[in-house]
Amino acid sequence: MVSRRDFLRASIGAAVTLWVSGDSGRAQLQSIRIGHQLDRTGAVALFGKWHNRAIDAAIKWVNEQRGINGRPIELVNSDDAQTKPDVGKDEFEKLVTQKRADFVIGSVFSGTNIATAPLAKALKTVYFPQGIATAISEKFGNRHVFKSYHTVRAAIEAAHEWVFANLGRRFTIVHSVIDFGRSQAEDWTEKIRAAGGEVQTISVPFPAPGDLLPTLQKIDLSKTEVLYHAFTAVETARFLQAARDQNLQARVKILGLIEGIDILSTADPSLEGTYFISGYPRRADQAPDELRDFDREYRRRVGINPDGFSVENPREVVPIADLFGSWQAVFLLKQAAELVNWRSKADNPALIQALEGLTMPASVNFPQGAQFVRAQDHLVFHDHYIERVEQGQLKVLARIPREKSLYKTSADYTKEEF
Amino acid sequence: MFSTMLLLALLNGLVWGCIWALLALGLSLIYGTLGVLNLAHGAFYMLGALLGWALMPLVGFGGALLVAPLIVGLLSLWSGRLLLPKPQKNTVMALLATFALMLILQQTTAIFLQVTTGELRHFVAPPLRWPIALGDRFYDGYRLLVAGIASVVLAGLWALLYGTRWGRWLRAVRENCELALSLGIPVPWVRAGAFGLGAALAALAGVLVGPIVREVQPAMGIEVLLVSVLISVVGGLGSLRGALVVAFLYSVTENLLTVLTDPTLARAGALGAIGLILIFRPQGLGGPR
Repeated sequence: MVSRRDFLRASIGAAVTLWVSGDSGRAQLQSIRIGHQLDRTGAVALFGKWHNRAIDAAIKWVNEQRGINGRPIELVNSDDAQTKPDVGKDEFEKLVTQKRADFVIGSVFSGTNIATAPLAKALKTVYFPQGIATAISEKFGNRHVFKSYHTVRAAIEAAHEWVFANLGRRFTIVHSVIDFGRSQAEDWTEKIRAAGGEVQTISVPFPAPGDLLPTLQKIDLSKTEVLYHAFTAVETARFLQAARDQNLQARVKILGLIEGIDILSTADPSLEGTYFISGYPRRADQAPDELRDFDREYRRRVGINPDGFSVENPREVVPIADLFGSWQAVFLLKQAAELVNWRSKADNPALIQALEGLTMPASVNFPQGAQFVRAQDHLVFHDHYIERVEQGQLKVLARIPREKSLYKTSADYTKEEF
Repeated sequence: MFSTMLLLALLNGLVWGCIWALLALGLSLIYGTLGVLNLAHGAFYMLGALLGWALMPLVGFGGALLVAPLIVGLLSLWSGRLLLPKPQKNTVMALLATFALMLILQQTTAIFLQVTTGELRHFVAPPLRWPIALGDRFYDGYRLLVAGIASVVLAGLWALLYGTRWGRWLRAVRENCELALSLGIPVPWVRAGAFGLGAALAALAGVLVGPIVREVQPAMGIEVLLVSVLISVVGGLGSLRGALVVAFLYSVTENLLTVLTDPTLARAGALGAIGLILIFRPQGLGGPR
């Protein structure tokens, strides 16, 4: 005969068991949502498409590894951020409030990143902007913003010693007036002056005028060892072709960031002999030996061939290095979230503290090589490369360790409240 | 160094002067004959540049120079016949018609390029590499070829207008359209012909400019339209001589100013300088007294 007490005990026990198992069952099924502030149109649409593919591939790979804390990941895309700061900001808000994204990987357009950063803080959502303007990890960032790939300043800090020693310190900088161009001109000018070099700058409106010859005529060749260019892709191509009409490739060293050409083929004769600062070699056979296996896996999963072109369309150049920012953001999240057993956005303070100062070993998750997150400005530091176009192909001349890109930052987000 | 820069700027100013002359003369020719400011002029230039890009690998540079203006000329002859067969009482409607034509041409081209090539922007390879040493600099010899071709075409235009029957008809229609009609001149065809010829000149400029600016895309006509309209207005709308003179004035001023300042300011400065002419001659340089 079951006593009343036994009956009560058994039913309470059963209820508790049901409640607990039901809850954890739901938690296991509930996916973690990563949002992408995707530009489908506008100047960075081509980059948006590839970042989206990289995130998609990264998420598939995480899910093959049992997701994050056993929970699967789901990608939610914004409608279209349009390469416009105000539109991108609204899309971010929709991602978080309507599409319930737990984290957001940002646009490649720095203007959109800067407009979105305050909202990430207000909505307490960890945001990974993909633009490389320095300001996003300086005065416009905050505790919820993490830069999973370099900024202009980190790249210049990394490269300047090699450049001064091997190419010269008498510069002429020709740059577009957009932030991307202007910040390069400012940072280089500071470095060159500090090293006792000489610098002249020529600013070019955006979009650049059709005929670049008059601009190029202003370069004083008697005072120039290094001709530095800071334009976006199509304008870089036009600039280098106009420089070739002046035979400048043979008379000065031409240098720029790989971001200036990262959707262009290097087969054009105007690129022959020019130098680039990059975050990763475009061609697989130039990758460091110890990263080769990871490189192969990364390319296979994103759909990039060994020469840096799309597997689907072998004429389309993939901005391979640029995509690490998005790919690695997913794994930064995985690593930190598993460290603190992240369950919901309520655990974000712990997650952010785990991300601050996190070190990541080289792996398929971090194919770019070992890296670390600087706690103060939330910027990831990775190795850099100097590449040169030889016989139509980018060849690595030097690998620069990540410690060399550690510039002094004025930001300290660790002092901010959550 | 400075003297070389000045020399190069002057040379480049003269070369671009020829190109602006082709554009502004086409515009002025249309205005003089049809009484309409053709806002689709930039689109014809763009079509010329893109056809040049598409045709050069097939028929060579010389072939493209002939075929592209011919295609654009015939296309605009047909559209001119359709849109503006008679003198318009309402010039605003005529202006709107050309504006619509511009939008249609630009958008259709964009859609066509997107569908067939997947890209809007394309690069034109220079048909010849001929660097000419000037001091420590080089001038692109292709541009001299451009100036040569443009000069020959401009001379041909003069011969056509002042030496042929069609030219006389065209001038007659410009002088007095109704009288010309009563004398049996096929006015609608003369008007359509002028529209086609003006467009062909713009297309020719497009083919020639492609290898200089390198990048060709559907929106490239807009900037060019603004400058050509200003040149034709300052030249005295409808006046061919005026347009010719102002094209060179503008271009040389712009290139010389570029030596001193950045390209945007130089363009603004040059446009301002030719604009000053209007203060002293509001009807334009070649306009009626």
